[in-house]
Amino acid sequence: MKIYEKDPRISRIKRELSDRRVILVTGAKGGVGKTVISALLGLALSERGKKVLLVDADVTDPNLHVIIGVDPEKVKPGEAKGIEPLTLTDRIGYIGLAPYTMNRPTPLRGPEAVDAVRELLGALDYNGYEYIIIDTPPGLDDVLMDLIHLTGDHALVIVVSTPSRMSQDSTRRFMALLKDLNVENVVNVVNDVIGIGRSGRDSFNVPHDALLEEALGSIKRLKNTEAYNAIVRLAEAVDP
Amino acid sequence: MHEWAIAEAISREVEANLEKARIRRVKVILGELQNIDLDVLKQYLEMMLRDVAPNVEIDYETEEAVFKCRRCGYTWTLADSSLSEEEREAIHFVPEAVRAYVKCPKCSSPDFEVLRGRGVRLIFEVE
Repeated sequence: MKIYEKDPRISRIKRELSDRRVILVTGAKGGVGKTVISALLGLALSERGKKVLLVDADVTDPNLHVIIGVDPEKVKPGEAKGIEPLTLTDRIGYIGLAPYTMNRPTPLRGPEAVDAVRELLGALDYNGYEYIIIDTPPGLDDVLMDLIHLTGDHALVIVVSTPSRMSQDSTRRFMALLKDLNVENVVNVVNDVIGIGRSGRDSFNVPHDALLEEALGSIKRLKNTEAYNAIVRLAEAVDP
Repeated sequence: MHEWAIAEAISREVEANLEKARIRRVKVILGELQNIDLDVLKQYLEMMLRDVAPNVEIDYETEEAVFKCRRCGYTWTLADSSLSEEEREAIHFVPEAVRAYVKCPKCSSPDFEVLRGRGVRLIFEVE
């Protein structure tokens, strides 16, 4: 007789995510615009008639709620046959740890952050969502590795960088890692957050947009930004 | 109830393991921290497993939640911590949320380890 332990969440996560379009929005550094791009891509895909779930997997330092105008101290996701994402419109849902922590500081060591993300993904009611956009924490950390192991065989991995040479240096290492992990479906988005006007040749470019900060928190205003217009073209490529 | 999704996750995992081995027994360990409704979970899980794994014996066990501070080393239990209904509810959904509401009683650090009793674990006994 053999005895072994299993994590009950893995099979359900893999099965629920296997027949949906999964997009991991990643990046080697913080502050490159992963979260903004996750949100804008979600809005753009929903405009194309798709039902989109935005997942904030940056569990120790979540920000996605700021961009989409959710106050985590005031709202609570519901529960039915699983955790019900908060609905922003009839085609956009959001889930993250922030509504469960009242937006308080929540220090989590690597394996604990992985546990939190598995818990959210493992207990979600995915009903009707066609696109699952997962905003990941910066760097090559435990959560990113776990998400790649769970979804890397079919997910689109968006690697966000800036035109800065530091970011390009980090991104080269990041890309090499994805190659070693056999992740094939990869797009580099160069987001000109610093406004130096340089763009990449083999990448998807998002121009500098000084008005973006003003638009945070309002879906309506976000849709009027130049950054959004650029992401609409990315959405067309993702969802032809 | 979100117990439905947890039962479904357990059932999927049992199903996936049935393809690889002859499972005699599965022990479902429920951590006190997550505060799963055992009766509700049992009811859903028995219904789900009736067809896919009728011969697998399921046992349930609850595990006390114990914390250990990473700064001062103090060890304490969930019963030692006072939590509001709303805080318990949040922790029920994602046990890691406990770090937003509980701090080390000795040194107030939120950087502590959950030694045991976090969430749902499965122990498989196979032939």
